[in-house]
Order: sequence, then structure tokens, then C-alpha cells
Amino acid sequence: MARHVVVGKGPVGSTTARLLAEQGHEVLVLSRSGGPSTDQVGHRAVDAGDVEALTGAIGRADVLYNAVNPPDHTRWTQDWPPIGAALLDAAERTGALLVTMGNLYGYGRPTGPMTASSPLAATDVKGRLRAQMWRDALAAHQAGRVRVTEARASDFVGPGVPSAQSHLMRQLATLRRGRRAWVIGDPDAVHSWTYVPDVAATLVALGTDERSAGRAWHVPTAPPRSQRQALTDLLRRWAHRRPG
Amino acid sequence: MSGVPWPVLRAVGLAVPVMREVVDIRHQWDAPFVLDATETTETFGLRPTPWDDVVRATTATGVPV
Repeated sequence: MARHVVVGKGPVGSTTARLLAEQGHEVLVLSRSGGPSTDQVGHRAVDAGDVEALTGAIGRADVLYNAVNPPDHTRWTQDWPPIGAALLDAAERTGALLVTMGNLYGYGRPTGPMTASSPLAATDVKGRLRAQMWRDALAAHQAGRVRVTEARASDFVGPGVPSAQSHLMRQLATLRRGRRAWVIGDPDAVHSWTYVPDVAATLVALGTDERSAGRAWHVPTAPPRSQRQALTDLLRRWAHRRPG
Repeated sequence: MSGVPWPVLRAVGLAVPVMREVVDIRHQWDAPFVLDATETTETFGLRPTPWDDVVRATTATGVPV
């Protein structure tokens, strides 16, 4: 039985851990706050930026998932580098395949639909940071020190996704309170919305299939909807759902 | 539903750091921002959950917080 260690217990980490457990894997979730372990999923508290503590908490692992989501976007440049480096180091020390949850920031302004081989051309701070994290991981992979892969998704949608982690869910909460939603950018520009269970399915596929290693992959996502279309779809469904 | 004009966001960003961060990634929101995962589907056989099912599942629980 393979042992999978998931670092992070937000929507992505939790959904991934549940899916791995359903598939019969041994699962340990590491997070800042820990949590009560069940028969299916173990929990431990650890500082993901502390490589000694992290390696100790992991113990043995076949696959290590980076599903960390530093909550404050304004602190990414301080919060991400030590966590990214510690996860990479821990994967190297334990021999685990490192599966990182990524995003589309590294591409910068797209010139069309983005594929996993689109150039990492971001010029903004957060985009350059995520691009560099992947370049560091890939360089370590190519040097034979560690095996890595990365799943990249667009903005999240799904039950249990908190407003703080999704523009769509935040606007939905505002509209549900009967208030006008002031969306970011053009309400009619189409946008990919990635469903969190599809993210988990992709992470698990990458973690359990050696063909994933050495490159990034995109999370399968339904055809794009504009912010206006997506919010209208969600509100309409809410209005018509049956109680219970 | 209305779009916030970028000059307003920039002005707010002077006082609110998170708004400044949003202005940095305006390219994600002022033009089509679309992901293509054809390779993942072809390699691993994974398909996206249809949008109608996403909408149904997302609205099946409580109001987001």
C-alpha cells in the first residue's frame, strides 16, 4: 500500500486526502493546525517551512503533495519561498514523488488558451515567484535529485470553497445577500473555473502514475464562462433548488 | 453586476494591499483567461466535471462564507 502525505488541509488538500483514502491508500495530512485523525486519514501539525520538522513528520512517503495555500496573497513573496524549498528538500530526503498544486500565474498575460507548455512569461511579482518555484523544482528533477510534477488550475469553484480563496464564491456570497457585485475586470470576458474535485482527481492521477513526472499538467476544466454567466448560472440554480 | 474601473482599483490599492495585488494580475480578468487541459485528458483519461454538475454541486450546500 502506497503512503501519501498531503501538506495543506484547505479545500484542495482535504478533497485530495479523502479521494486517496477512498482509493485505499495510506494518507497523512500535515497542516499548521493539525486535526483529529480518523481510521482513514491521519493528521499532524507541522510548520511546512521547517524542513527538519517537515521531514520528521513525513517519515516514509511514496508521494508528497504540496497543497499549501498561504492565505495572504500580499505575503506570497515572504511565505512561499521557504515552504517551496522545504517541500522540495523533504521530497529529496524521503525519495517521494513531489506533486505540487500550482496555478496559472506563471504564464502572465495569455495570448490564447494556456497549455502546460505555454511559456512562463509572467512579469508581475506573484507570477514570477510561482514560475521560479517550478523552475527550481524542475532543475532538481533534471539533476536527478528528486522526482517532481505539478498540477495547474484556474480559479476554484465548488462546495466548501471559502470566499477568501475564490473571486467567484466571494461575488456569489455578495449577490446572495441581495447586494450588487462589483466584479474584477470585464464581467463578460470568458474565464476558466476549475472544480475542486477535478483538482483532487488530477493530483491523485499524477501521484499514482509515473508518467506524470518531470513536467506540469493542467487540471481538466469545463468550457469557460464569463463572470456574469457563471454567477447567473449559480444564482439561477440556487433559486430553483429543492429544499433539503 | 458591475466591473470596478481599474483607476478606482489602483486608487484603492494605494491604501489596501490586497487590491494592489489584484491590479497586478488584471490580465487574468480583463480578457479571456482560458486553460487547455487536452493533454491531461489524453494521457490520464481525466475529463472535467460538466459545468451543469459543477453548478448543482456548488449550490447544494450553504451560502459561501
